[in-house]
Amino acid sequence: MENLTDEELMELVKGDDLDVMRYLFRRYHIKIYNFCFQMTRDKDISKDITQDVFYKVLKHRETYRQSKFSSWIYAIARNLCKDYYKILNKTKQLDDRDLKYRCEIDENKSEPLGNIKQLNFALNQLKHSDRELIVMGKYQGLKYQEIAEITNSTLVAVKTKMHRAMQKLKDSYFLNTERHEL
Amino acid sequence: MNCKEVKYLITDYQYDKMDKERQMLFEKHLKHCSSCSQTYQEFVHLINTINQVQEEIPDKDLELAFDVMLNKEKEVLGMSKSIVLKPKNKVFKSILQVAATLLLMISCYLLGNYKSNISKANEIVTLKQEKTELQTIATLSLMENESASKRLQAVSYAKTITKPDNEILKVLIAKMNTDKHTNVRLAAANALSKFAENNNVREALVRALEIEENANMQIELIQILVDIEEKRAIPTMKKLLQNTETPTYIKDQINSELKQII
Repeated sequence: MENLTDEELMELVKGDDLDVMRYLFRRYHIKIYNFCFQMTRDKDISKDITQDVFYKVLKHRETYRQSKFSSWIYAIARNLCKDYYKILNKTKQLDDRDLKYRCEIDENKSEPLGNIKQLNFALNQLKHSDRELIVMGKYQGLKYQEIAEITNSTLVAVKTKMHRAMQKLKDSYFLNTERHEL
Repeated sequence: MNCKEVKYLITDYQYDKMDKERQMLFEKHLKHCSSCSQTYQEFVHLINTINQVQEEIPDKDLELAFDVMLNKEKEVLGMSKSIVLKPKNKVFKSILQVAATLLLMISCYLLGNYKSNISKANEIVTLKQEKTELQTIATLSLMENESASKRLQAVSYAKTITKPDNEILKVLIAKMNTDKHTNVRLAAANALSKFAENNNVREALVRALEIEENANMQIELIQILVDIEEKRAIPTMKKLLQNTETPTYIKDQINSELKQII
């Protein structure tokens, strides 16, 4: 089992061998959890979404069609994070100040580095679509081609969007950071 | 290499992927362009910061929750599997399907057969009716023919009709009573004897004997009436016996035949 590719494992799951799903869970749950965490900055919500991602993989195993498994699971995670954002925007439970406040608390506990605190803040300022692009490409190290597959876009479009998103992130980051650090 | 190109390369952070020639051009530009150099430094710093971000490790309960969910799904699958027909049953199912198909085909065949039989029977009945009608028309038209032989033929036709209508019978009775030719009259009487179950025919035969003067006809009629056991003919026969004009051979005939009816 360990030697099989994601796609081979998923084919087994598709054939109702549900226990094989454990291997895929072990391979992907940390990646998916971190993607969700960078998108939401909330550990509990990230856990819920990650759980939901694997539930959806299992439930909709019939619809899996030989494509790259990682692209498929990331697409599911991305959609669920989007749904989460929609609910967030609708209910307006958290306004920007709350978010910032929460970030600060989080970072004070687990991320003492000032730069990372600033980075998280800058990331928070970005549009959802820019943010997910950077998280996938720069945080998670996904290839541009794969991001294109996940977002149902083209390689060229992803490159251009990434360029702009990185500019924005940099501007936001350095706007609040003293230049003397460099 | 201009600023725009360099900035694009910087954000892409693909410095390592560039070939040597491009690296040289890139570095050369940075040395001379302070703006690009600063941007580059900023990006290096940004990327380094991103790389410092440590991977979060989720709590153990994420895996536990996954296990619970997986077991539930397995239960659901097991339940749905027990409902779904197993492969063995699939064979059984297909046999059932084949049997049902065969049954359907056979019943369709039988139904079709039955229906066509009914329609065929109907056809035959109508054809028979048509045949009888045609025979009747032919017979009737032949009866009026000038030629005695044709009339004889008509009479014999009439004889072959199993269930002649009243018109035919009337014509036959008329022929028996009034035809110019004795042979035709004899044949008509003979034909009528076949339809003796009809009361009109019987009466006609009795009356014919009463008024008959031709000896041949008388003998024929006596014979027929005795054969059909018509008791109403007895008085007429007795009258014939008493009549002095009656030829002796007819009286002998009556004497011998009367015994059979009485």
